[in-house]
Amino acid sequence: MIKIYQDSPYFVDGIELSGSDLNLMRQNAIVLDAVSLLGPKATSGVVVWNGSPAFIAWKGSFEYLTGVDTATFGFYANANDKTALKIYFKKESDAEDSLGTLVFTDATPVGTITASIDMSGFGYTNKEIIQVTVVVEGPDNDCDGLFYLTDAYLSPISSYTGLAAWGGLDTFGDTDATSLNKLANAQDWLANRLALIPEICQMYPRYAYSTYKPETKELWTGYIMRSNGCNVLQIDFNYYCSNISERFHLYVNGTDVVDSAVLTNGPTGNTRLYWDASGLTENVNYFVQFKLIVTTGCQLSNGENRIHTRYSINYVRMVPGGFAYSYATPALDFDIMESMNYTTLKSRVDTIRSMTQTVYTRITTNTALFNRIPMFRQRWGDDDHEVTKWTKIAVPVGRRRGKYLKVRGRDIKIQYGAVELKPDFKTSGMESDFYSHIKEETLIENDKIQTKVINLDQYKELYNGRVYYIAGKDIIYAAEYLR
Amino acid sequence: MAAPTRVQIEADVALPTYLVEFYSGSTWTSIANANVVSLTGSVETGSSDNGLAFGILITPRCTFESTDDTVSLDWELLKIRVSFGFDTSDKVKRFEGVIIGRTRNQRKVTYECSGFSTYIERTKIYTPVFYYRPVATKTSVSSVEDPDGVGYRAGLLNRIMWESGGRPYEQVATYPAARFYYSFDESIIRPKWSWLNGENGWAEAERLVRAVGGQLFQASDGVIYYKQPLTFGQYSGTPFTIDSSYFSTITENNVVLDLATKVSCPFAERDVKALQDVYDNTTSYLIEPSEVRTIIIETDLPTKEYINTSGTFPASIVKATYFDGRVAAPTITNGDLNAQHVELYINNTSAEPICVDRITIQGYPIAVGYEGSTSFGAGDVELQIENSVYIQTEVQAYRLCAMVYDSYNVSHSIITLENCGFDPDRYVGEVVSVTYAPYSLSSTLCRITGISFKNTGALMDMDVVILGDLPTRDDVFITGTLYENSDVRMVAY
Repeated sequence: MIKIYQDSPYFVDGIELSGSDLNLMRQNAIVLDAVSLLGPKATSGVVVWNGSPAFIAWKGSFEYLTGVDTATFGFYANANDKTALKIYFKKESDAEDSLGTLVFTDATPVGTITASIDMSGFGYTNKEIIQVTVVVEGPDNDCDGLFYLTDAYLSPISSYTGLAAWGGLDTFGDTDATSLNKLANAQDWLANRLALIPEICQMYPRYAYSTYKPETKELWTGYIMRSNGCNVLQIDFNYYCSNISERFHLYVNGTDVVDSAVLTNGPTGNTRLYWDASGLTENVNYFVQFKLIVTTGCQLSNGENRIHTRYSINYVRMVPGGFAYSYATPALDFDIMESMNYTTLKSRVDTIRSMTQTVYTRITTNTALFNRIPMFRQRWGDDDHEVTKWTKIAVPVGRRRGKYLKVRGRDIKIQYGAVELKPDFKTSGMESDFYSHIKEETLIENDKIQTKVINLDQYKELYNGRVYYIAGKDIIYAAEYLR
Repeated sequence: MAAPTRVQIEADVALPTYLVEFYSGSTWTSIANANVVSLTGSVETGSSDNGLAFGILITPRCTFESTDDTVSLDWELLKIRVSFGFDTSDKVKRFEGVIIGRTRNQRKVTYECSGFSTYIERTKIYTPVFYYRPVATKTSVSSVEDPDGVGYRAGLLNRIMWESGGRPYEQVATYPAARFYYSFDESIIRPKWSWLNGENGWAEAERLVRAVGGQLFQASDGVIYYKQPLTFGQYSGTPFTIDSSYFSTITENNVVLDLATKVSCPFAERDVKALQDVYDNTTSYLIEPSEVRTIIIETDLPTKEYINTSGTFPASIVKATYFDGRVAAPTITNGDLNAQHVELYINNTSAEPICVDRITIQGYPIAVGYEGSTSFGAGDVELQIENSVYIQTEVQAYRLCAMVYDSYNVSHSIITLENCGFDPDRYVGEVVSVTYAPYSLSSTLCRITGISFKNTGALMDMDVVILGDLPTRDDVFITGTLYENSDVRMVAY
């Protein structure tokens, strides 16, 4: 069964009408419907100022598209008057150790800040990967503040110059090549349009340590947006509880909205947390904090024997209530050489047309979701030592939806499948632990920074919907594309 | 005289005649019957034990012995045609081809003749990459077959025929002196990407047909036909009836081992890759003043699009210097931008010799992505379709499996009718009705898959294959055809 988008067929009058070709368009309609019903992923990015003179607050990257010339960043800041917020963009041709070009400065960053950067004169090449570095600067030992990144995207996709105009669709009074090719071309157009929106691999904690003593630890922070009928926040994570008593909490705009049952030392769980966000305003970002509150710490909370609770996050996304996406009901598929009357044939084909038209309407009316290109968040860490330290613990995670994976960086692998954790899960010291996946493939060799587009079909067990991880220290960009 | 009528053909006393001619370059010249001491030959739709198998090409053969050495002087690849008829009628052409071999002694000359595949297999063709282009496109009075014609969209099979000197049979009035003629259905399946790269044209044609289904064969009238599978059982009017009065011996042949309950097929997706160097060669070429050097560019992968301006490579693809190290700038032109083959012309317009040290061409190549396999049917008796560069999607492979399955899942008996009186009305590919009670054949529809003539055309043997319930074009919906809402058809493969 085909579960990813395939190139549409081509029809010619006077030639036999193939049920297989119609099935392919039916399957494409199902794929387009499903992809366009997905809710927004969370925007990941918290910055806590530490007072050093030049602190890299956030690092990321994006794929530039010709005509999509506005880069928008949202921040919430609370800093003293000697602290400045600066954004640098770095082209692929810039020196590897440079920050690139300064494109935005806010000398007095306080409150809600929107940085809207016009890139039309920057000379970027279509589909070039541009790196972003957000720097907080101030005089030595005389600056202070708190910064949150609340949004980071390019817009508007509708201005992209590389996509022809929508060709429209005909209802099927007859099954002529003109109407069938319009449908085929419309599906390809929609696939191309959706493929402009990268499915970003999100940087999530992976077998990360939290704490072993009574305290509150932030596990993940970011922003969520209720949109596209997806009103429930879903967080997929797993954990190993090492403390005597602890609970997971979810805060939205500072309010404690989820308080888990008390966990005690021992249980390992794959957990899916839901929170009904339907009370939030649609298409507006809200601040989310996922925390662990330890009431009673580890029994062996001293010296070498103290044990942290560990956790991994696989997914933070908005989904519909009950996970009930409002999928369209497709017509029956066509058996090889299936016999039917003409009314039935037209009806089935017109259902494919109807599903396709619905997708077009959906993505052109929901601009908050479908007219923006989200950015990739790179691994946090202010310097090489920090980045190295977090390489195993902060990992880009994807969940297969599309055909291609675009990665930029050096010495990068893709991992998926069952996890093997060595040595003992409970031993302390994060450097001594080692986890690996049964499946691992090299994407980019360890010689120089490159951009590669990988056809995911070549990994036969990486089925549509399966989670995968991007491993490596120098990951500049990782995102999936529908086609 | 007129062509033979059924009355003449079936008369109790008929005198079959024959005529062997060779083409002198402008006219057909007869070899006197008195000098033709024997004449045998055969025409078939395919060489498989299964008369409905796809793309197993076999060229017609003819052997004649002559006491006349008229053609001896310049016999190689000389066009020959053989016609049969009756003394009261004109004769009908039943073989056309070329002489491919000669054996002679003091008393006679024996000529071995083959169909026009001899021309085709010697033709090397290079093309650009085509996207979703049918392998064969339907020929008609107005179909554009000339690659330089306006609106050209003919298939690669048509291209092979055209470049080999063939012309559409439907356009015989426009091309009365063509080397040979062809007449094609449009193939049902279209590979995502297709191209030709100078291989043996006939072998390439076989690969193409096997990848999309159908049969390519040269028929009795000398025309090369491509028939797609849904026309195998197609006929109009009333099929000609054959009963025991038509032959002297009948043999039915079934091979259980040929049957399959499941057909599987591998496929290899091909995708356009990112812009990259598709050719990079550091071989040095010394080019004298005013010399134009031709360099053949052969890329490893077929290239969908080269970086070029209006069909011409930029001068920057060549790195050249004078002997003293100064940068040289020869003029660059090129031939057609084919998928894997481009002729590059480097013109040293200066008065000094130059060295070309590097040629780098960029483009968007097409490379194999995901490889997989699919199947149709179930059970243990599996028929594996061979791998093909032209089977590129799972859907295509699945459709091909279904087509092959219909030819192999039930026994399509091959019936040989021997020593029939020669019937010039019969032709390979024709659907006939066969009745023979001992074999439970009662107006059973069969397709003629082979005719061999012997005794200088007095007799013939004929192979027919039982069609069974093989679907035809009439059974399926045709794109663009208006139907009543209540009309019932099948959706095709």
